[in-house]
Amino acid sequence: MNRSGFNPGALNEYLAESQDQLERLTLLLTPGAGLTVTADGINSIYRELHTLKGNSQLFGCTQLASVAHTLESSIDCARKKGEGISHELTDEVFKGLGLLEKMVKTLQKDFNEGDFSADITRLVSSLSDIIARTMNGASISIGHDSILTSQPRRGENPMSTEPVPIAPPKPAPAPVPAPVVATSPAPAPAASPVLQAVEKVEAPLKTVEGQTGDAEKKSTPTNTAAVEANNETLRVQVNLLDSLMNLVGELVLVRNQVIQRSNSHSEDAEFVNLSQRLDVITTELQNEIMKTRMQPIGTILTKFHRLIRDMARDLNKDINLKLEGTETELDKTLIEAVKDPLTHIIRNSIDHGIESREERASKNKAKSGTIQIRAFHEGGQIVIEITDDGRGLQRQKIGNKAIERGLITAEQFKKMSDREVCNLIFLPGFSTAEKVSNISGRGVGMDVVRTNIEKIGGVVDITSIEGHGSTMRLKIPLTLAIVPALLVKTDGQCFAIPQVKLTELVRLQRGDDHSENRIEYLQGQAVFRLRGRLLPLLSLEELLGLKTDKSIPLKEREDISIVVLQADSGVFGLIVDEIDDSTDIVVKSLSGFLKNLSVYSGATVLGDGSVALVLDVIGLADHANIFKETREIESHEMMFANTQREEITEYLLVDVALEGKYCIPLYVVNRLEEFPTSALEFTGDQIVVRYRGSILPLINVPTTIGAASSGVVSLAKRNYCSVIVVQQSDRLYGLVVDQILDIIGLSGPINEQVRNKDCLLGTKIHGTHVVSVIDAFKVIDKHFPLIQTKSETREILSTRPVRILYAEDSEFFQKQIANMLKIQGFKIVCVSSGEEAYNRLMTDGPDAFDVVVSDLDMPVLDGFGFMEKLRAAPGFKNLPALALSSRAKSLTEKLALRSGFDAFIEKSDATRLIDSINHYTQTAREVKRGA
Amino acid sequence: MGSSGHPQKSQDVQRQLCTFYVEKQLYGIDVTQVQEVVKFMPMSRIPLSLPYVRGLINLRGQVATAVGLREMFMIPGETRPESMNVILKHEGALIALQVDEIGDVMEVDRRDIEQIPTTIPTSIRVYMSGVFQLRDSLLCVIDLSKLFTHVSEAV
Repeated sequence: MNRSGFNPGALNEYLAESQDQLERLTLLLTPGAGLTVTADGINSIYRELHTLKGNSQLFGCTQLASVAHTLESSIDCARKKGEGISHELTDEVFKGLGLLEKMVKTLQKDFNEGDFSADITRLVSSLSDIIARTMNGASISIGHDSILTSQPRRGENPMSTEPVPIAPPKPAPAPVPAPVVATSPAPAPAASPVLQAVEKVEAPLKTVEGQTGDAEKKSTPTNTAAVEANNETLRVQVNLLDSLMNLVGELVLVRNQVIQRSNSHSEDAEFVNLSQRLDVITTELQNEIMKTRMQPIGTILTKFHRLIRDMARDLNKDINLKLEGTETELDKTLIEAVKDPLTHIIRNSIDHGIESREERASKNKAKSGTIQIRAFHEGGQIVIEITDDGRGLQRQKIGNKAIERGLITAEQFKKMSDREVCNLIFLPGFSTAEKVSNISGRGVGMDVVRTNIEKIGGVVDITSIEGHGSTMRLKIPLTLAIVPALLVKTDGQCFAIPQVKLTELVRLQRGDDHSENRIEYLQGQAVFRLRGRLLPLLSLEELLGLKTDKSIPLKEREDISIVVLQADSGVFGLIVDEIDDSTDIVVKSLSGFLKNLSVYSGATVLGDGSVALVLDVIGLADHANIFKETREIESHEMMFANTQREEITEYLLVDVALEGKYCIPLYVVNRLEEFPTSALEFTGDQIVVRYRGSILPLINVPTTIGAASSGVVSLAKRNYCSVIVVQQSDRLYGLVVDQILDIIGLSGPINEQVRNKDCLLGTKIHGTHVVSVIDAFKVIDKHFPLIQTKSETREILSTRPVRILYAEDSEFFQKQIANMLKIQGFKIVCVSSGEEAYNRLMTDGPDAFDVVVSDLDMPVLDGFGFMEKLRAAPGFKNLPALALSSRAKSLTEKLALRSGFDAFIEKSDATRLIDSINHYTQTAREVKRGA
Repeated sequence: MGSSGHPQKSQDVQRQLCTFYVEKQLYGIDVTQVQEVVKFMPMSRIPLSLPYVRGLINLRGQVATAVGLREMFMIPGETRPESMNVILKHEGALIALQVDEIGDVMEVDRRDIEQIPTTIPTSIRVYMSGVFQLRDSLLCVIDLSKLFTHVSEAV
């Protein structure tokens, strides 16, 4: 039939309805793992197919109709037989649904049906095979509407409007005579019960008369159950909803302005009252409109049943799909946006993740693999997790591929953490599938997944355990239209920052000069220590080029507001003048010629009617990187270098007003401080400063290590002096330097040959320069001789010195830590690997040492292995053991404690090491005494 | 358009221009391209943007980008603090051309348009489609499509 008689609107509606029907059918066919389709379910499937067929006939889509008819007939056979739908049949029906979907898609493009006859023939033949087999021997006399019966009627049908199933010749049982449908005015389609047949014929007739609307409505009256379920809904164009949403957005803004006005006109009670009502209604309206755009994520998740089924069959794998949280709702546009990435991830899981049956069997895994998709709310965002129990990401395989593709070098790969390796799969042009299948392995995809998710303000993350599967985690915002945001002010101008990217707010108050919250400078770049982590700071004012001569320098501000933001590359702090308020904003895109400004993601109208720019956090970070690209590279190198076997030691590069470069090992540094010279006081000829409730003696490093006394002069000249606070035993000393420049990472031992001054440990090579390493303890010793401190510590400690076994492979640390501990009066024995330490303990016995201090990363036997081995040995269960490592505490502490250590101490934290040694040895002694 | 024998010939050759002044020079834009003209409105600056992007204006809840014609044409002289806005719509986005003063809507004969003399600096000439000789002044016609493409190329 010619579709030109229909207006495109009606056709579109039909196609949309067909898609819905296909979705419902998919759902009905997959009632959940382990369940079979119930009799009710089969009936519903039958009804849906039937309606679909009817609609298709009405719109003259004969191919669609014939496929629907074929499916309907085979389902009907199953229905009549009352044995449910066999596995085999379900597979075929799914194929049929796939075909239908393809047809609908083709139609949507240009209302042209295309030619699918080959596909149809294939489907019909395989379906009839199945039915012939299941019906084998059984009476099929009731199967009056099976496709088998429809075949002989093919040529007889006088009406071209009637769909004619294109049935291939098949070894069918003898055709069953058609039921009596003589009451029908026209030869009824054999596939329908009488009533339906009548109406179906009626419908096309009406259409011919041009009563499209009527026909449409009447074409499905038999389907009352389905209609009833849906009669509460109304199909609305999405762009109508979009414009409604926009209008509500505007209304919200106007509401905000009205409320602001009513606050300043509180004497007008009626106006205040009205604006309050407006407020309530607007909020309600906003919520309701938001809801219209919300769809359960299940609408796309359930579609994956079919995808997985089809793919698993093609790949000869067994895969179950488990869905959780399908009712979780999110904005329609977002649902569309995550659909493709999700499909891709699932395809990957099926193809690369889940192993073949044989492989699973050999690995003692359940025969069928499982892919689980969980969707849930978390912190105002939607999280979608796709977990498979397949083989997981294989580090070596990924590495090899990445090296082969030239994405990384073999050197780099060795130094990469597992997490970094996992993230390689997001690089463009990456694919590990050894064979390119039609499903995945073409090397496009994961990078597209990431870009697509990031485009909608989301985040992708992957975790994987080799051999046990992997989990993809997508974090996406609830909606794009209305965004909760934080308003900040800089230079009198308001900016909005989306809450999604916000981690925390920090406010530094300049109180006393020994206030703990201070901004420090590294090579002129501001940093802040946020709970032990170095947070790079960017000033919004500087970034946006708003800084003028009038701007108050950071150092002189009474308080500083820092917005801690999460960018791709990491966390950074944004310094703003003022943190204003958090509010819901409607983001409007910027006009074309502002698009290049990556620092903004849009603009919004605020409650006071002014326009505020919305900051793009990732753009800001990128923008800042332009200025410090070289620093980036440097720090990357450092990052890679850090994971190397050879341990990197960090040094604080300082300016001591002497020729050449000087540095201090970072691990001796307790804090970095800056004091105004006005705060310095004298006691005798000793400079002191009040610091954290006590007196901090200051030692001028330049004068101590150099001949000239130029340092003192410069100190008086300056407004501020930079102080490195060093702890020796339980005392703090302040080392005054001209300037603290940077933290550098250097490997290898200190060259002790060149030591022209006695306050130097030796020299190191940094790039093209020779750097002298200052011995901070010696410097202190010069002014406050050791004997004094030694006697004090002796008093504290019990008579017998504590005996320590220290395992450390880095010569540098071995020497430094040992020296430091010796100064404290401890007796220390150093070994350079876990193996050595273990052997030593085994020969000397459990009473030879009071405490074991061990590095974690060591050759031969690392700290974890050593401790596990030691704890297993008899007599060593209670020997105190401390892990001393430069690894990040947050990540390693648990592992260390699990392997049997009593505590985890960071290498830079000398104070805690001493405290812990004292604490654990004392407790151990008490325990012994008690016993 | 403009084919002979068309019944509405007179309307065809007539063209209505919305005119305005920048530094006393008269400019015109086809009225059909102008959405509205509004008085000066408070603006939010856009740090880091090109010099002629003056800021963002809240136009009844819509955000319009204010473009200073003076900066765009590189006309020397002081920017008036209270510029008028000629609001245009370009690719769905609102643009407010900021000008010194608004003139009348003028009706001109399409055929009277003349080429811009080559002595005019290229910085301005690229944005012009031609000039009309009026009795007491000259009217430069701004070619908006050129203006916008130049802007997007510059970006």
